[in-house]
Amino acid sequence: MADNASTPRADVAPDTTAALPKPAAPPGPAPFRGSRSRKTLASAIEATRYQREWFAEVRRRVAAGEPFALVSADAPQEIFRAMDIPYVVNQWWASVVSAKQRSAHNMSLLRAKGLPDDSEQYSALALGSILDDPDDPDAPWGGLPRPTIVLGEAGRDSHRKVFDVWGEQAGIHTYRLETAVTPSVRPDWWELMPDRWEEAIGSARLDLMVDELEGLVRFLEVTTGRTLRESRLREVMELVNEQEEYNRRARDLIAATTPAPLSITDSIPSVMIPQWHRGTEWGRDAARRFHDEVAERVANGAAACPGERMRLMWVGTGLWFNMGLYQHFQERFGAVFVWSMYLGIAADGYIRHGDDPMRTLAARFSAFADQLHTPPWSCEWYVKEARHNQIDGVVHLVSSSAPHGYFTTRALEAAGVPVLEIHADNADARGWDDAAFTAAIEGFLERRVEPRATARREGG
Amino acid sequence: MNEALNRFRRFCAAPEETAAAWRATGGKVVGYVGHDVPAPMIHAAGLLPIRLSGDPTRPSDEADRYLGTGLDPAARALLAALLRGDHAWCDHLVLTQDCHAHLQLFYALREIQRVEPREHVPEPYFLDLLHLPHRTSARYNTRRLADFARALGAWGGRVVDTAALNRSIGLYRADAEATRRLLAARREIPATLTGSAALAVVGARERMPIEEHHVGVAELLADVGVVTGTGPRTEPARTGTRVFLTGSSHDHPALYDELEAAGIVVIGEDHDWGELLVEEDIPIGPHPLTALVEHHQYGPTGSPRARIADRARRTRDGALRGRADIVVSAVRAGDDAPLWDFAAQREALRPHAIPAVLVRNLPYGPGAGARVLAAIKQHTPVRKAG
Repeated sequence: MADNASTPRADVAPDTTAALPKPAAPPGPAPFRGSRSRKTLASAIEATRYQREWFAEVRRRVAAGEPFALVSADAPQEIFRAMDIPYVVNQWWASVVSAKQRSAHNMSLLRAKGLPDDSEQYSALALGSILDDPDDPDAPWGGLPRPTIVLGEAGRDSHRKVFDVWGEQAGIHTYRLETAVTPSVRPDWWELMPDRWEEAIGSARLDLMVDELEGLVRFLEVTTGRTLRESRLREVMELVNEQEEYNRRARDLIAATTPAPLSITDSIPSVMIPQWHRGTEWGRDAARRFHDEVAERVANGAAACPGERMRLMWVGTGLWFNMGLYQHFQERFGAVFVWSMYLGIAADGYIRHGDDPMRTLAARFSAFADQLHTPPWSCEWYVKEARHNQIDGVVHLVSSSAPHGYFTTRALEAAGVPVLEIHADNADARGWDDAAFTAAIEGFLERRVEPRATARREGG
Repeated sequence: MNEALNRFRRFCAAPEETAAAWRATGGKVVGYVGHDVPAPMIHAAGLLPIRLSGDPTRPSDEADRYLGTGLDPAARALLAALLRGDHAWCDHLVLTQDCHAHLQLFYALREIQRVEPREHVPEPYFLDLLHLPHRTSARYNTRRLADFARALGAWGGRVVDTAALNRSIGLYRADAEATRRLLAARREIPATLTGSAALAVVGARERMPIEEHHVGVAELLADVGVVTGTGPRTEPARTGTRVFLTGSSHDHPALYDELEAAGIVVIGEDHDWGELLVEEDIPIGPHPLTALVEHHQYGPTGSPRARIADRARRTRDGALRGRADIVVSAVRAGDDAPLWDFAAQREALRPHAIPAVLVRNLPYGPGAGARVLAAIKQHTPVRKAG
């Protein structure tokens, strides 16, 4: 397994530690600049186009004096949708900053404030954008508007601290949601979540989230003057279910079709951009367009890589600064990344049915992160998806901030699916050794994935 | 003084001996992780609470495999100890989310027991206490403590009711008050109690019967002359550079020992194995569960669950109270929360002309002292202890 040299962590607080012997500066060239992916789906291209148009509209609305929220991906955005409060998802903005190769710049702004530049990078990139010069002509997409509200879950220790810093910024309210625990769980959450979420999550945790969401609504009513109508929330919840049902069907089509009609370089933007517009007709229609396009490609025999020999799964967050990596192995190896968690979780992780829209919304988010990151839910789901999608090998991005990678790798290997672990940060290019990682993946494909893929193809 | 302190140090270093003695009388031991577990509740059930820690002198390779190497090494060392069977003497094991690392430790244990079970690891009980300052969190916490009381009652074979809780809380309060008086001795000029001794006093409190701890504290109070004001002072007065320690927690005395061997006096700290454990009294009254919830939700806590502004105030107040020459934030690799506190802590100390220094990426075991000492020397002269 490849093992990355970790991102350099020099001492900070330069005015108090400057005289101390510093760790030797890491050798090597300038920070890595990744390659972009080549999109082939019309829905992916359209989604990107719409996203730019939408973001420009957000900037106009904020400039006109509307409230504006920065929300965590794992937080209930549906509330903001239903109350017509424009919002940007923190993780989406982090991906934009990374893709524009600006992560080092943003982190340097935190460092200038005496804050760490090597902790919670993914969560803190948006904070860096706010600390930046508002007139910076190089700001991605014109720059992130200054939010009036920041919403997130109280997760990791340093993640909480990032929210503390947000709360210290003038004119910004922060609202946090608790991260509670279900001590004992059934591993097959994907079977339970659509209709039996009370059983999967537990009433105590749901009661808490409902209480917190009611508090959030009151908070937003008071600070923005906007209202939440139950009927509107029901509409939003139904649109989300429809959107995710299309995603589920698209996932199943890709899973069942060889060669795969598309790779994750298309499915990620096609799925994720509409995810940030959950609860809108555009989002639902975008998911339908994506599904229809996948179905058409299946019907026509179109493939991401006509010479497909190996089907790969990428476990972990997307490598936003180097999306071109996912297509790099197609020509020489016929190796296609057909699965990422983005379409997978869209298919399995969001659909919730229930008569009480607030409790149903709570059921979507009370334990959302556990589905992806907490064993046994996480590892058992990855195994299920690997089997369902006919996966021959897994490249597993292991971040230092995310424990339990062992259990995911173990579960997949125990299921007969070979795994290569890559230890790196998905949003911070400073520690990425492209030559080493590319070589590691190539060796993995040759030694471990090809034999399994051959057996699968020959087995019929 | 030395004999009494050595007894406390022994309780810290060898909790398995305490557990064995307790179990020999037919009692049961509840091992717990973190400072969030209400020890008075365990005591009220007739059980012995012992807070667990890892061994800084042993590798944590096995735990690192499960948890990765990005989490606080203190938590990884604790998992390693559990997996080795170092804490097999626990009849029950309780974990909380007083920090992210301990929550992940629970998840890892749960999964290990599912896929690679270890016989000598007790089944973990998760006490889910939350820390946002919200009424909704308090209501949730109250229900969790009620569940915990029922579980303790089943483990101990006795009902944990209001009367039993108040009796136990009373004992812990009396001990906390006496311990605070003792720890104040290190804030005298010159200090008549070392930081290392203070750490042993508080650390022993987490690892022995509270009644015995109270007796030991009373002995030490007499030794330092606090009770009478005229008793013999057998502990040498310390006049070295006075340091207030913030940053990561310390479940073993290595850093304190290294610093104080070089003439430093650690006159205070704000981590969760130190004086903040006895800082606030839990009220006695008709609603002890409410009192416990409020203590754990809003009371003194370490960096992981405290807001930056609160940390800055606590550090400033502690440094002023102890008349510190310098504040040192000593932060372990993998323990990121204190890194975010530092800028605000430094700013809070600036009007009082107390310098602050951050030393990061420190190891969990011995060996951190040299770098910390070098940082202190850069900003203050190290006065020889007199």
